[in-house]
Amino acid sequence: MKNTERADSRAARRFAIPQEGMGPSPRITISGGSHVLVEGLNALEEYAEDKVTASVHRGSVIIRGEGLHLDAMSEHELSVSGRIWGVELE
Amino acid sequence: MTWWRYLTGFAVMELRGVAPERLLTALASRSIGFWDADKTDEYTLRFTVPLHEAEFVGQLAESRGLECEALVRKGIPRLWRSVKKRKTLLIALALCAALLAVSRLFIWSIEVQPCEGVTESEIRAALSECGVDVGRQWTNLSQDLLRNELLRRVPELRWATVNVRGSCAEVILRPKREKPEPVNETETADITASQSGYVTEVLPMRGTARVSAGDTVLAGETLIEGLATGRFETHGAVRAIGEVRARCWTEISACAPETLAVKRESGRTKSRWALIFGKRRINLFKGCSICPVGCAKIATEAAIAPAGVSLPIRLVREIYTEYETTRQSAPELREELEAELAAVLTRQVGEDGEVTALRYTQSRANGMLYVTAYAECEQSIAETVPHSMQP
Repeated sequence: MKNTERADSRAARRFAIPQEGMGPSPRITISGGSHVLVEGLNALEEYAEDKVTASVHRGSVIIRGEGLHLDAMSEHELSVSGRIWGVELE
Repeated sequence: MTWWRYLTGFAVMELRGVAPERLLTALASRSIGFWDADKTDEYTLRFTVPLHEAEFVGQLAESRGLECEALVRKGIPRLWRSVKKRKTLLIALALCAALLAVSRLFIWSIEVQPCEGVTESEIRAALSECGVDVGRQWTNLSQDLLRNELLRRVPELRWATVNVRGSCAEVILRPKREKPEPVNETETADITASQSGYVTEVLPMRGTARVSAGDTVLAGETLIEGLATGRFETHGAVRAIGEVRARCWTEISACAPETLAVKRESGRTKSRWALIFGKRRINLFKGCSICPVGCAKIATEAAIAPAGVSLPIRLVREIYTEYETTRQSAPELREELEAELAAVLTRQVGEDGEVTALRYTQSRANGMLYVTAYAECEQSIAETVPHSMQP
């Protein structure tokens, strides 16, 4: 795993290619303080009103907040709205 | 999009178990859409899926050890499944729709706009002769031919049209305006008194006034002569124009038999109902609808249809009111005669005239009541009489 990661980073730097173009890396977009879009989703692990956990490539994304609500979900994307307090990466 | 979801059908599912939200990942990976996901407590999750996916979602949940229940199933597909079994209802609905579609090809009600000088019954009779009647098909009616036929049959009309909306024919009419009588300005004439009176005002506009305010004139007397005087004392015959007002005294009488019988309602009424389908009448009571002796009948018809739709069904209500024949009392008879006399006087003086004093007297002779009105009126007495018509 470690060698692959380094190879990806080296190739991206050498050929001036954005990191996300080199593999299935997750992307998290936060709009205002009320909407989070997670791309590169693998699975939804946990869903509660104050915490949403989604597993992504190479880790998990934890969204903490209040009144969290699943707006939409597809195979690789997840949209959550509500009062967002923080987004953690593990 | 709510209407679209109802059109395709949806089901509200409830999942119970440990981490029920993990099933959502399986749904997403199989491209099964869901919405309104809501976790009610730690072990219960509700969400909505398309109706055709509900069964699969239940099987998927059971395979993962979760309890799944469809709380609500709604939508057109569900409705269709329940209605499909009721063949008789479907056939009846289809039959009603077909009857409604076919019935719209026929006229079931005719509305005639009121028109001066022509009664509604005359118009309806003329329409019937032209082929516009209740129960007739309207699709082969020609507007131009219909208009020409109607104008030919009813000469009092200037213009007519029949608009058909659904099954209701609306007839719009315009009456003929009477051509005003042309005045021959070159014909010489005098203004004479139409009746005797005491002149109160003279306004000559053309001609020479022969009377002035304060004079007493007799009927036929010349008031304004059709003679014009020029600047150099030359004379010429003209058509006199002017206004002369006078106070006149009129006496008119009316009489009626003292034993005049009138109908008085006793207050007892009875209603009977009937239905009219197209032109066929079905009585909802026993017996015939001939009005019994001692009763007056008033029949009213009302259409049975929602607003904007014309159907060939009308409800008829016949109200029978009992009456008794009694003699009219003398005061009532006198009041009636006095009212008639007052109306005649008002018509006589015209719009610009006024009845300034009025009194009545009554007398009886040979079983008759005579009422006489003595009126003092302020009115115009000017009447144009051409020189050719004067003796």
